[in-house]
Amino acid sequence: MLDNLDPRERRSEDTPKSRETSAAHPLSDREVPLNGDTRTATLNAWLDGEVPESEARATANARDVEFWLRIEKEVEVRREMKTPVHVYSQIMEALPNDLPAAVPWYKRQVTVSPMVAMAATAGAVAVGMAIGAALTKGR
Amino acid sequence: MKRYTSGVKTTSVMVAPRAADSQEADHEVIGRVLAGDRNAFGMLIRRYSDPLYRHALGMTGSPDVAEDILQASFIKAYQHLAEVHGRFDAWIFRIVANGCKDWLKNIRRTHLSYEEDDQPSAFATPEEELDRTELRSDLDRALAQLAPSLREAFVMKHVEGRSYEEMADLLGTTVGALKMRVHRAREALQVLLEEKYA
Repeated sequence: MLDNLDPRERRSEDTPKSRETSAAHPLSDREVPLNGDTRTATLNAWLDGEVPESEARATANARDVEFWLRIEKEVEVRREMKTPVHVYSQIMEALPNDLPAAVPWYKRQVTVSPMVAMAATAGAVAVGMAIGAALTKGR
Repeated sequence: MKRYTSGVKTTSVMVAPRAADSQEADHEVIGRVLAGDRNAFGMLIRRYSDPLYRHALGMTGSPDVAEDILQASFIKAYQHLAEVHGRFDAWIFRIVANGCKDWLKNIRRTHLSYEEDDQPSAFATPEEELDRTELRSDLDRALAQLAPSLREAFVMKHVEGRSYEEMADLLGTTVGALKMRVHRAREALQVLLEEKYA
């Protein structure tokens, strides 16, 4: 979907909801081309692992490729980071002594097969009819 | 699609390397914890703490805060362990990711830096190491200026090396939306850093 870039169009009550920014669809997610140029697209494709470096070097700006290679070298160090050793024991010591709380009955997941559902429905209908018949008799 | 060696290494794992066949599956470990084996929970911590720590560190920029978030998240996970119905790795990831977002909402950082004395270095010479220290601080500062959703996408893609499909799975959004976030984050970072580094 494209953004409406027409400044003459005022936002009003009847602005279509699809054009409004919401928490569920933040502005940053709009699939609008950023620069729209091939160089940026190729650079992103390379960074996403979709095209080889040679293609990025041939199409995109060489400076940009070098820049991202440098960033990648730094990022690679971060990718190898491990949780500090003491954190494991810290967490284990901080765990409550009680067992994890059981899920209350009203939050438990219930699995109902079609046969059980049909039987339950038939039972409910039978009970309903019985109550109805009893009430009619009582009048 | 053929994957090329590029600036980004993409792993084919979810939060952490999937449990090998010889390892006990998550739901079995959870069953043991719920049956009273408190120490079995340590297995889940060991299995998932590294990628979760990297996420928290990437999002907050502070090792101390990342440790705190990790600890609080695992304690919360332990207390609510009986409520896990799907994948534990995705569930604990959401707890950590929400912890990071809450922290970002509550605090505004002006300076972020990694203190990673015992972390590996990919640089051979002291000069390279010095350059790296500067780049590291500059990258931290630039990341801190990104909107949380862009930072999250960049960290997951580049620092954690996840595929877009994994990211979409964990964040409950579309691959297209995440590509857009990552591309915007890259563009913003390049604008912030290119004067000095490009």
